[in-house]
Amino acid sequence: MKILGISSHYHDSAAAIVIDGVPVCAVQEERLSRRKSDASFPLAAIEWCLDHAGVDPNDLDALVFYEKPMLKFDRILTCALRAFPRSWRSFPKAMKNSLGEKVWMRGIISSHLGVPAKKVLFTEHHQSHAAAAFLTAPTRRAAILTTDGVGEWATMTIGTGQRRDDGTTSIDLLREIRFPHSLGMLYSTFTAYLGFKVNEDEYKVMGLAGYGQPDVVDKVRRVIRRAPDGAFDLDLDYFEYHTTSQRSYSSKFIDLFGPPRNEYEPIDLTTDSGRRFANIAASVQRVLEETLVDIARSLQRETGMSDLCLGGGVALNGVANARILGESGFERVFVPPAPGDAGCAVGAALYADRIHFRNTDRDVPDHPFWGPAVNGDELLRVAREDGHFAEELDETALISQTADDLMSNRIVGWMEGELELGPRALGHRSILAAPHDADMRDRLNREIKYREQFRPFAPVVPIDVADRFFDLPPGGARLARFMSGVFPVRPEWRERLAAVTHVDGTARAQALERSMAPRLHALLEEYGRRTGVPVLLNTSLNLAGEPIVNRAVEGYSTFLRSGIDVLIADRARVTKRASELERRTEAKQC
Amino acid sequence: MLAFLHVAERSAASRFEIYRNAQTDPAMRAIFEDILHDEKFHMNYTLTQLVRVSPQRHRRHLWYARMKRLWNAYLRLATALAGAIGSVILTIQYFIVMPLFAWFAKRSARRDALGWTAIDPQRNRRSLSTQY
Repeated sequence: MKILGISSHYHDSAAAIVIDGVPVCAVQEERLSRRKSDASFPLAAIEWCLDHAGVDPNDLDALVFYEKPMLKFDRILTCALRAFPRSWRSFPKAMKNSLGEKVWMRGIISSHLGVPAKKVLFTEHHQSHAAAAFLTAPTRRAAILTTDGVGEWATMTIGTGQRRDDGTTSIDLLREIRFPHSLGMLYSTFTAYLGFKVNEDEYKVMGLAGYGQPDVVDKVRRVIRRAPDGAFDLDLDYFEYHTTSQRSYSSKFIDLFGPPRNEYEPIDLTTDSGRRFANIAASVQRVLEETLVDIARSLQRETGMSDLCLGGGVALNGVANARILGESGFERVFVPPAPGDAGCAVGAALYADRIHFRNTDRDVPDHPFWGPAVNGDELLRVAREDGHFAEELDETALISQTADDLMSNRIVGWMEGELELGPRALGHRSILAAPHDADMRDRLNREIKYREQFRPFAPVVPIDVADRFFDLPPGGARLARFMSGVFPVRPEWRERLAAVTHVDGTARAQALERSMAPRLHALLEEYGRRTGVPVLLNTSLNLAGEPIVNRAVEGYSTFLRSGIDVLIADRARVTKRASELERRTEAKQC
Repeated sequence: MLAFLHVAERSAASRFEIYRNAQTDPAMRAIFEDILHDEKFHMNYTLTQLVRVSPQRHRRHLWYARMKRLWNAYLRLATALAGAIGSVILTIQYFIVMPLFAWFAKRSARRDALGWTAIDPQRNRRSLSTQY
């Protein structure tokens, strides 16, 4: 059975194909269109998936959209009516947006692909999240917690999933919290208040939180209150996201927390104002963690299960995930590599396969590499045309040479195999560097990522030695598989891992298993043999404002426009012209 | 393609000429002079190449490119105009048609329970064919 999963029209469109119960490919539209967080209908992603899987649209048994458009329209219209007459500005926009395209998904999918409309199916948004979290996790029985900004009406759901011995599968969502009460929207509102982009920069709030003291937790608790049944509700007087499209927070919110940050002014943590924003970030982060831990703890007590599958955009909050693992009573916490909307393309297709068509359960490969593969020859060709030094090395020489480069404090662009699905670079489209000096972090921020100084970088470490460098609780290595948890760096290693240790002594470590990315694992081992520390700094191969690179030429373009010293794609290795390297060395010496 | 490039470069050159003439600061004027120089080079280069590859029909290609730009500009204007008209009509509808429904919606909001809402087990088994 061939099933196409599609997510689109909110943020991060994606497509995925599941054949006979196993995903064969998935890719985000932004990686192909080169527009960050591209939310348009993922035509390029669908075309690539069909082409890669060798499937004609007419051969598809079903095309599954990741949410129910009419139910979503119901929520948008109801909220506009409930906010009457304050919603008069947002109403025309919302109607044009919904009626212009979003509610006609069946027709759009059917006409774009030339397939009968009856083949188009719709899962609920949180069913897709739940399926993406549970059906891709190596567990037979687990509690499920999904939480994001909003789907149709639900903003958080809890439930259970079971894969039985007879091959049947069930996902039962038991309860939900409904819009406008939303943990994701709470965090996004603070993201907007702190001058960052909503739905894109939430991780900056998490990074900034490390620099602050949670001294306004009481104020945050006035805007999010705990309900007697263990859920939460927001005091809607502090918010406007449910009534207008202009602003997420109300004047009352500003009265409570003070003036918002001007997005064009940098955050200077040496000033009172910079510290105030860091403290607010720390406070909302603390409240988010505590709320999630409480809900997860009561879910564990209710279900008695030892495994938890987390889905939805909020599951990208690694600090909260680590606290859930440590404090909720669950022994293992599974977060997929793409817990946000992009992963819903996979989730929707798997949900249709297991639950709707009742196909026999099959194990899903436990890796994030579902996208297009990189072509080293392409890199060799363009680099040679431009007169850069390009060579093709065998595996051993490549690992050895790259370890040399890293030891010489060179920054390496690393492209290998298939592209990752999800926001994290997990070793196939990465920038690698030595993790030892804080200078390296500053250089990466300054010359390559062009981003705020308070943003930390993540380390990658072989899973078998991860515990030596990072204080991983039981089950922590699993959470670190896809960089989904933030854990303390062991005090004795903080100085030698200065570039990847955040100000609060933590790191969002990736614990790499050899089978997931053998070449990167070999590089870590080689680097470890030479330095005694098999840890590398690993950040995504892209520039600020751009999506992670996909093809070799895109990596090459990033290499040319930034301070990356060496670029590797498959077995091709490119260095900048000698003159440029000399110029850089001189600049560094100056 | 060359005709489209030439028309676009010509348009850019005329715009940078305006920017240059508007500058009073000599340094800024020099920068725009440089850019204008580049644009004129591109403009002349694309025209030369167009004449080279299509000596007989280059004028027709140029007129086609100009008409295409004009048509696209009309489409942009028409879309913006249609959007504005749509907004006006929807706003009028909002104030005339919606108040009654808004009253019902606000009444129903009062009945919304806070906290967890149980999900009907049937919902987990609902057909995926429906959009509701």
